[in-house]
Amino acid sequence: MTSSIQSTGTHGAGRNVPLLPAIGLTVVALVVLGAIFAPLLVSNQPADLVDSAYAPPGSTLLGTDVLGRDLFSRLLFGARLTLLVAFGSTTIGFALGCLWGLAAAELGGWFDDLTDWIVNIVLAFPPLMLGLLLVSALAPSLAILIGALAAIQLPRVVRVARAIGQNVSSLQFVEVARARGEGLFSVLYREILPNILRPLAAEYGLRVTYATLFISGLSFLGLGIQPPDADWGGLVRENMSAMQIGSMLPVLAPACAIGVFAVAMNLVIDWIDESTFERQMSND
Amino acid sequence: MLNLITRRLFFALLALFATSVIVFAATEVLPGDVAQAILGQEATPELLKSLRQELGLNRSPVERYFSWLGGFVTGDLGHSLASKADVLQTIKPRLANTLALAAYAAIVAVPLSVLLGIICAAYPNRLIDRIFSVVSVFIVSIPEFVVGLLLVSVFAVQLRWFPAVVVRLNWSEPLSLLVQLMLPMLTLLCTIVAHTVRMTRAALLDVLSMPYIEMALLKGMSRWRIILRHGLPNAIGPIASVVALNLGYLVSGVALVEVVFAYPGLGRLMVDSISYRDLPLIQATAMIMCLMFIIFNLIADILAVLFKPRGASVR
Amino acid sequence: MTKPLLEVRRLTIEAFQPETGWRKVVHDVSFDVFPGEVVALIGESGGGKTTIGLTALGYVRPGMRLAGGKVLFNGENILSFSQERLRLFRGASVAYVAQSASAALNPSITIGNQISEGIVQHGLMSAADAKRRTLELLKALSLPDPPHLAMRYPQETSGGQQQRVMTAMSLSCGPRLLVLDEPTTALDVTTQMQVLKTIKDALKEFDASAIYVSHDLAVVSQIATRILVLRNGRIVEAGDTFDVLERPSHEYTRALRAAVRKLPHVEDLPQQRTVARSEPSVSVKNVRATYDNPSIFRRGPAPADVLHGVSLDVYPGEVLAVVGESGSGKSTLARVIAGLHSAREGKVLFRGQAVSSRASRRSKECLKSVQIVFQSPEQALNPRATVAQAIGRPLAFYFGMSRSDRRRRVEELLEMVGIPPEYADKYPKEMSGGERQRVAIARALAAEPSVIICDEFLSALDTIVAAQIVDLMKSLRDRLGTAYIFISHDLATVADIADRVAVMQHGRVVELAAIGEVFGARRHQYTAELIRSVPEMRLGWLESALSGVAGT
Repeated sequence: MTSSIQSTGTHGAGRNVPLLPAIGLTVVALVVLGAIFAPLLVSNQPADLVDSAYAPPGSTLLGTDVLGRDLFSRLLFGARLTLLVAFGSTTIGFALGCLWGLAAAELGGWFDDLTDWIVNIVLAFPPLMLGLLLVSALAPSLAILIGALAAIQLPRVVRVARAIGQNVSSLQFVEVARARGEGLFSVLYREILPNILRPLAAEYGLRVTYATLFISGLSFLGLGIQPPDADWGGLVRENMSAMQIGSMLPVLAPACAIGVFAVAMNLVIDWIDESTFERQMSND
Repeated sequence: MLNLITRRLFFALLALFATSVIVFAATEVLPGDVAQAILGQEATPELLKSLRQELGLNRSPVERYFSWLGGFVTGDLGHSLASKADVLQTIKPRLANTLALAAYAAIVAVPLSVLLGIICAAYPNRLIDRIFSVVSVFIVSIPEFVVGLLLVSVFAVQLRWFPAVVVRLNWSEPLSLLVQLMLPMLTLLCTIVAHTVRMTRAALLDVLSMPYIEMALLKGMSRWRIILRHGLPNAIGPIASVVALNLGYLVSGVALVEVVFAYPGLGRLMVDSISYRDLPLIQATAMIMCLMFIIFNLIADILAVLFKPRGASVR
Repeated sequence: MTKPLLEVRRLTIEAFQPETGWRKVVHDVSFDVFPGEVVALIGESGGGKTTIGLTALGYVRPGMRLAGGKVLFNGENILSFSQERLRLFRGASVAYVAQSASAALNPSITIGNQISEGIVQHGLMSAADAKRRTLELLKALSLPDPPHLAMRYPQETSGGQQQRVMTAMSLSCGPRLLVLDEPTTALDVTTQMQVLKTIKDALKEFDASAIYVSHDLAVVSQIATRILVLRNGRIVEAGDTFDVLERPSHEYTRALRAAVRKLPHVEDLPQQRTVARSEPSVSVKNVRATYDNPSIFRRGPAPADVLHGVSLDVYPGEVLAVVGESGSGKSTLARVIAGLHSAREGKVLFRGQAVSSRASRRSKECLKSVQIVFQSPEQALNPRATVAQAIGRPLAFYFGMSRSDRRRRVEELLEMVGIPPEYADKYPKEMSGGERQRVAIARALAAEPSVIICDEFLSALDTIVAAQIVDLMKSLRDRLGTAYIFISHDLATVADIADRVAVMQHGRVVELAAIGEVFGARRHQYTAELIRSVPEMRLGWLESALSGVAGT
């Protein structure tokens, strides 16, 4: 009988089992643990030549790469580099961006207007172009890659943090705190921050994923991590010649590592993001 | 409203100016000794000296910036350091190739993704919507060069349906050109379709949760009339702006895809010129790609303003 | 005997809540609507009134489901209609008028097309005939210049006009029954009265019955022939309007009735201020304020002022009410005093001392003397802080109290506002709206202020709860001698609590006098209009009040 009552309602009763996010979380945890404990997990050092080039799996778990190095070992050590750049740059860019964006939302006035201006102008610059220019200008060392990526992430984080902050900073309990005479940091820390942790966490995840794809892309172009070290993108680049001899594994393994990690991250983010602050407020 | 559009135009011009400063600074100021950076280990005192002369490095950066900018505005982009060829002439065919691929991808992707987005929004949380939402998470997460490699491994290496690389565009036979560009086009398609569908769906669902949609339902309007007549016009602004943003990506973010397919486009030209440290080429390609990105951004902003429901408050 | 138009039988509806799952919100409700009747559904918010009203259109909102019962229209159960049948039924046989016309009218379709669309889509008339009919309807609802209006978009018209347009839209297909969902609640008092009258006349002219959903007994008494009183999704009383108003049998109805405040007789009000004239606690001198200050980053014409030179004093221990319609600038005034909004010109003085226009630059001594309580119980408290943390913060901030001292004081303050001390560890979502506002008052009291600014803080509460809080505020004033700046649009409540009244219109104080004078004979024309618009709970008030307007 209920089925006869039609609605174009948007929100159903919500997704049922969070199976996908659980899978995502597990994969992310495995990758992170694998990267941290890489030296304990591999039998060959990533730089050692152990077999002929592009040897099939057998004596080594995934076979060997273009120079005959252990692919599995290179994959795990590559994860270290990829994740170090991704998490490192995001953490820096995110911390600075949140502080800036939230302060702009809370202070308003000329500081907010100026922030809006700067962000709009910088975001008019295609991010890949910015990355390419920065690494072409400065030799691509690990620290510079992290710094450049943090700088590319910064304006995006500022924009998001500012928007999220604005939603909350006009709420009445925040006004009350302001009227009480609380200072900027007290209002941000006590009133605003606890109420935006979820969307910020989702944004952090999104940015880590973005940074992962970005550094992989740069390295794939040969402009990121430099040989003999290789992150996942660099591994794809190194082993491209395998495709010509019909051996896909040396290319697909690092390529899929990037994809699987990013998919896993996005599954987790989708789940975090599902109940946003607004909904929390309206359900009260 | 006109006021708002002039404001956007002003911002675009400002962004363009900022872009030129960033491009110039990144190529000629950040590296410190530019001549040393270009020559690297081959640097000898004589070579350094002649290169400095050629680039006019003895002048101050500000002076050099304005003469560079002046040249750029008048169409004098200088000469390539490596090939000595005129930069403008080098870039022209590359730009045409990049635009051709972008247009191909856009013509297929835009109608497809808007339609899919509307269908997903019309049946939220039903099977088709759920399938697409999971699929799109996967596609969005996989970087475009990985998508490209996967497509190559299946359609070029295994099935041999389409060529794996595009070295020269076959302009004389349009039909075979479409086949030739199929794999790079599909790669770009994946990236922008997933994004556009998600955003279209979200924009439309946002509108469909408005009280006036419930009102239309209670007036006895049919489902599709509600979606197309009452919902869609109010969601056109955000949808159009997402589409324009993705077009901006198509012309400015394609370097990776072009490298995968060895495609003779602007993006690959830039990557190559970065590895050869060919300053004038880097500057020119970067400026042109930024210019196109800014134009599409501007179009996105203007569309968002134009399609705001009349009289509804705009800020 | 005539047959009923609509029969609702044992209707039960469940709503989904993330914490509890499916829960009944409408229990076993049965009633009839006969031709020519206006049946009012009255009760507090969340009582299921709108949910019941919507089932008359065969509609249950997303997140709810039908758990039992029947809704018969002309003897047919509309809940078993097919989708297509239901679509043809909606709008044509039963039509809906939503609470907020500004949200329920589509911003990208012209008024004319929105009205004629229904007629054409139900296949009743050709497009040209529908257009003619649309103009007739607009005229019938006393809207000015129908041909011009039909070509405009909803947001280009005023709130009162939008509500009439929506009523015209609902009547377009000649429905036998209208479901009116609080159609006047979102309007200003002076507009409310006229729209109510237009709806009443239109129902008569188009010979339609109605279900009128409202929380306002006084408004309902002007239009309903029968009243059903709902509480927690059950009908607790039903009867003719006169009987329910004059001889309420259920205790809840009596409480509702008692909570409707009547304007007092002039002679009962203090003519002169009773408080001794001493130095004002707070003064506002010639304040001008605007939103959106232009800066070097934001050019364009300077926006118009919201406050045009407002001056007033608040004396220790008095209640100064600030009344006016939405947009009159009364909330901006509150924000200026609290230091949340900078005045463009003019001064704010605390005990004769000029203070900074920004709270962050004021001294603690001066900050603590003025506290503010806002309108919305949903936003009053930080959802992530317990009651003890919320009230404890000013104690720590102003007095540097230790944790254990704070706890003791929090419990004292809770008791003062009538909340059990064990609530100290609760989070806002575990409390009702009224309880949250009480906690917000306790938080304000924690600072031991000399003035509390109450910015429309009752407007989102149900009448009974609001009445209890007014009583609390009165007793607190008597006990603590705190002065209030009581900002409200509700004149009846103001008359009950205030010593003096400032009437604001378009950013100016048009009248400032003792309560007795304002409600007495000498009054500004605008004040008179406001007072006349306060609905009274007697039959025929609407007509007599409107004839009064015609007379001026």
